[in-house]
Amino acid sequence: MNPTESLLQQAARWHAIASGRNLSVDESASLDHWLAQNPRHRLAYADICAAAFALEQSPAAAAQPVARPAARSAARTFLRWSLAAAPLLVLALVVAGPRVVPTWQNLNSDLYTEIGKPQQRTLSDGSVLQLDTDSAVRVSMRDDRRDIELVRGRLSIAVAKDPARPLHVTSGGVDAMAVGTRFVVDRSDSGTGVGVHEGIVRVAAGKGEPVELSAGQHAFVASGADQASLGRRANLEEGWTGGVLSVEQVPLAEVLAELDRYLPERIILSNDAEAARPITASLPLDDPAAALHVLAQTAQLKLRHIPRVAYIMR
Amino acid sequence: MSATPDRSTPDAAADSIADLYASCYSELVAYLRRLCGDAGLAEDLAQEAGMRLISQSRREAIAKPRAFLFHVATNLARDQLRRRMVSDSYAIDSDYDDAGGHAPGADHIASVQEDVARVSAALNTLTPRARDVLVLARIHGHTQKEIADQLKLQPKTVENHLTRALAQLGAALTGRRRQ
Repeated sequence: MNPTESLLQQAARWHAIASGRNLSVDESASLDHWLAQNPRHRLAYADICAAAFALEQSPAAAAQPVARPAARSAARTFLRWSLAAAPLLVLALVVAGPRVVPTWQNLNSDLYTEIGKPQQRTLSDGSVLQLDTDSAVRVSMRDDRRDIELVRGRLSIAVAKDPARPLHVTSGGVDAMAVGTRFVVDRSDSGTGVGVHEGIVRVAAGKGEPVELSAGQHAFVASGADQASLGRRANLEEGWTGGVLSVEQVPLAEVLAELDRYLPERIILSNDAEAARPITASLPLDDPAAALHVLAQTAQLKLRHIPRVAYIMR
Repeated sequence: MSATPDRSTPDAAADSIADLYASCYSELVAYLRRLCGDAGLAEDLAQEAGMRLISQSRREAIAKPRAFLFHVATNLARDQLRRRMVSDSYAIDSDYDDAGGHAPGADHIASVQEDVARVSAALNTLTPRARDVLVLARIHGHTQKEIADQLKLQPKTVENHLTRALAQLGAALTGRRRQ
């Protein structure tokens, strides 16, 4: 017999036993024991669970004639939910991309920060690295160059002058090179942003022509793109290194995306008509929950906390 | 405009999906903790699944939002379990590509729909008796004892039918993933 099948059978047996009743304390403990024996047990059990949830959603299963009329009407539940949800063609706006569970990234990095806990570190060459909330870097110092790889999140670096070994910050396919300067690199799923506070930074993306940024300039490279586009957004980039987010006429969605980085909660804006509303405010990043509360009040929107999600609606 | 609550307004419906998520949350976390054996990961996955439920509910009607939520969470957990198995055996993670899994960051909404299609098709491969037992137990929520009385079977026979049916659906679900 195929061993994979036999694992599926064992997992299915557990699922069948738990069907329609709660497991006893002993049964519960032996299921946990079986799951802990081998990661393959967990995966097989998860496969069976997925199949069972898929079955619950299957219209074909609901339509099966059975020996006795159903005690509970699945059709009624369906109707209630479709009535509730049908008129909604508006997209809910998730203000930031999915958060990858970063355990392995942390293990493979030299320095990382948790959500809401930025850190500052002086590197061996004298450069001062500020690592923002939920970020990770790998650092390598060699005789001819210095490399900082931004694995995720955002950093600001004041580069110690050393013309003999330029400092490169890499993020995906983007390489920002400086000799002595102060700049910010911001990595997200959508791409990498580079903003320069002092000096000059050369930004290269893939095989594209490098661009030179001077103080006050900002470039954004979309994921997988070969070309940096120059633009604004410096507004949001200044604040975090000082612990305050000061915005002037910045769209609500951008401000929320910024706060989202500091909160263990994720933020969802239910009505994307509000996304573009311009916000002018000064928000404390060391207390992001209070900042969110103030922001919702400023925008006259309702803030609802559900488990680990902050839901903003009218 | 009006002070009367109206269930058809977007934010009232948003509220009701939020209610569903909030009321399921602790059960979902407990389920994921058992599945993954990791309390922190369980909370992260529950949160991610909740985000996807809320986003998806604004795109289209979700017939079974609770099953959808648990299903998305389960598929996120399956991704994590596969990653963990790979990184345990090779101590690398970056180029993880198992013909079997959804790629990390894959479209979990599409994967839920694909799972539902596969399971629906697999129903026809079950014996009529196994299908009856399965549907009574999982769609109509009857206990094994009720089913045994109803179909005049031994309780152990009901459990066996259910086990075989679930294993067969599980195999249909993972068919593309393992040889």
